[in-house]
Amino acid sequence: MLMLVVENGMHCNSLTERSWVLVVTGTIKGLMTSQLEEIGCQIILGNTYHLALRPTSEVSLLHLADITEKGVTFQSPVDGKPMLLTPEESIEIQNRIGADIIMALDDVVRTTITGPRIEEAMYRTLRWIDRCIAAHKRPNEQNLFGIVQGGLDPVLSYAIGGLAGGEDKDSFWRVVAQCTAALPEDKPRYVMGVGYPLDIVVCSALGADMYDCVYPTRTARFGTALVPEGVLKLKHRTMADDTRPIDPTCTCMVCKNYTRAYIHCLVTKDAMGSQLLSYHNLYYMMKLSRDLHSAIIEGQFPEFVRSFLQKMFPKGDVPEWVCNAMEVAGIDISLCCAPFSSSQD
Amino acid sequence: MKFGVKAWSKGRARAGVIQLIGEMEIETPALVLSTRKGLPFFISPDLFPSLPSPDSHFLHVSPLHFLEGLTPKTISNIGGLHQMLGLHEFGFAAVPRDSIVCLPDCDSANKTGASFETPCGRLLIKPVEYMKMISSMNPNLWVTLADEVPAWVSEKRNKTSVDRTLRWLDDCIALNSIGGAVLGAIVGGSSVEERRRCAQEVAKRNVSGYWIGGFGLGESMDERSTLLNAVTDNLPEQKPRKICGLELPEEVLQGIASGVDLFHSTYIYHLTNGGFALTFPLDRTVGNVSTSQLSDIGSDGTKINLKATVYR
Ligand SMILES: [Zn+2]
Ligand SMILES: [Zn+2]
Repeated sequence: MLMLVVENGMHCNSLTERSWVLVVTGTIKGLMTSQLEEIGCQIILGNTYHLALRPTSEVSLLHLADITEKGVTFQSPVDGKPMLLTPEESIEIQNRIGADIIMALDDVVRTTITGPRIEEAMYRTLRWIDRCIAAHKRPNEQNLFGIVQGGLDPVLSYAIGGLAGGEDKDSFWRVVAQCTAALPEDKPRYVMGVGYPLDIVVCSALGADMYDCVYPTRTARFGTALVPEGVLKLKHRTMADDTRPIDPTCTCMVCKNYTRAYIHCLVTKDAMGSQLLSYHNLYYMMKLSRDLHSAIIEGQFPEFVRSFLQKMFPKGDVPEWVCNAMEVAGIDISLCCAPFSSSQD
Repeated sequence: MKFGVKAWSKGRARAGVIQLIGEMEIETPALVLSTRKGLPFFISPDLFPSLPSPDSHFLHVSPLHFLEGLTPKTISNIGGLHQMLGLHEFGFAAVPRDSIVCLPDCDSANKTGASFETPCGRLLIKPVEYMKMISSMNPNLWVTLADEVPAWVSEKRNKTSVDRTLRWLDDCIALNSIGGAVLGAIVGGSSVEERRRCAQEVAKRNVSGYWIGGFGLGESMDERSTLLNAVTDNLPEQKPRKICGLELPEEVLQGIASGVDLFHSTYIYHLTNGGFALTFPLDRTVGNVSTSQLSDIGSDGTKINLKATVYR
């Protein structure tokens, strides 16, 4: 399950019969609600407020001014003035917006930081969760997600936050594994700030359930398409006369209608370029999460992971950290790892 | 392409119908939607079906937009405009000038070709190159290459522009290798004589309709009707007339009064870009709007400025 971080808060009432939770609040930059339904998008995470509530890794650390026991002080994205946000206020605002999932306020630290500050953040986040629970006025309508903080220290540690900074991949998956092992099974685990297809497959193998993904739309703005083989850079001049679709195996509106050459002519110069690429990229991610879901249901998950890795790393050069993570997850991927390199002279 | 006039007003205005693709008929006077690289501005392709049909199925495309990254050969390999844009049920009219990013630049034009300011800089386009683009794109309608000049050029320069436009018209027709309908370009600046001369000459050529250029380039609103009439009075009645450079609703009405059938939608582009929403009533009731006093928030009786803080 993916969540999309949105860039304009706007309430959308298309909350419906979908098996999982919800459509929440918001629009995705450049895409209309009807397009999102077509893509199969089920959860949208409102960012304008989210940004004010729990500044996401990307923006927040830059704007973060100060954290005290009272709350988080940061620069308003609107006028640059310092704003204090307490756990109680964050819940009050989220109660008012009416999203289906709301987040407890957490004490954010850079994941590269180590030592007592990490520990402080973890304990403060826990204290704030208690304050948030006490302040939550609509517990029957809105699901409050706690945030598991704790940097990369495996001793510390339900949304698993603080993972989008500069941590190395080996530490990253270990923290996710640690968290998922320690959390109760019957509640969803949302890993914040994870968006690469490979990361999502790995985290799912380790027992995570939900992700936000700014990545598909952000990368689209730079002219990059997500494909089973990894990424396709549409800006590259070889695309200028490539008359194939972005991904010949994709059935999205963009791949059904447009060539790489035409998208190449649009990307980065015209808004329509990133709009079409975002569409494909979101479609790709939604299909990935649907496939993940059904592979698990059908008991085919290890096969799914293997075929995913084989497409992305046809030469068998699966990164070390993925191999390590899969070992812990109990998925045998030896078939995908460098089977040919040894046979080469 | 098929076109027929169905009714005339007491003056020159007329109502007709144009058929571009299959049985789809679009009533005229009509707006041809402005596009960027073939796709309508601001609206992604899967949302087109929610626009009124078939009226929205007539698109204006500037071949010059594709000079930014696509060769005629690639466009032709893809299979032309309809295939490349995934818009099979749409009619395309190819015109170099779009009045948004591609504008005629009369100082740099010479006897070999027309010059345009484009997103990839100033470009001199010769009839041969232009026709290569046209045949790779295979539009439903295309306009011959014109040397458009603004209202303030000398009489001599204006006369030259008519001569060149007529010569390029013959060149384009001779070079034409595709079936799309040709609209002959008519220029003549703000000289009634030259407008008449150009219209009379173009009317002699084997074309499917007419494109009136050289408007919206500095002429006054008062002189425009006379100039337009000098053109339309000299054209056969049963062929469509398309114009570039008339934007505002008042200007479009002026064109309709002179017997023009097809207009560009650049006004809509500029409004949307500026954050404006049109709000004037379309039924013919005379509102009690106390004329168009533009308030400090940039709204008047016809439109509202959604960028204004009152709409926050
Ligand atoms: Zn696709
Ligand atoms: Zn409306």
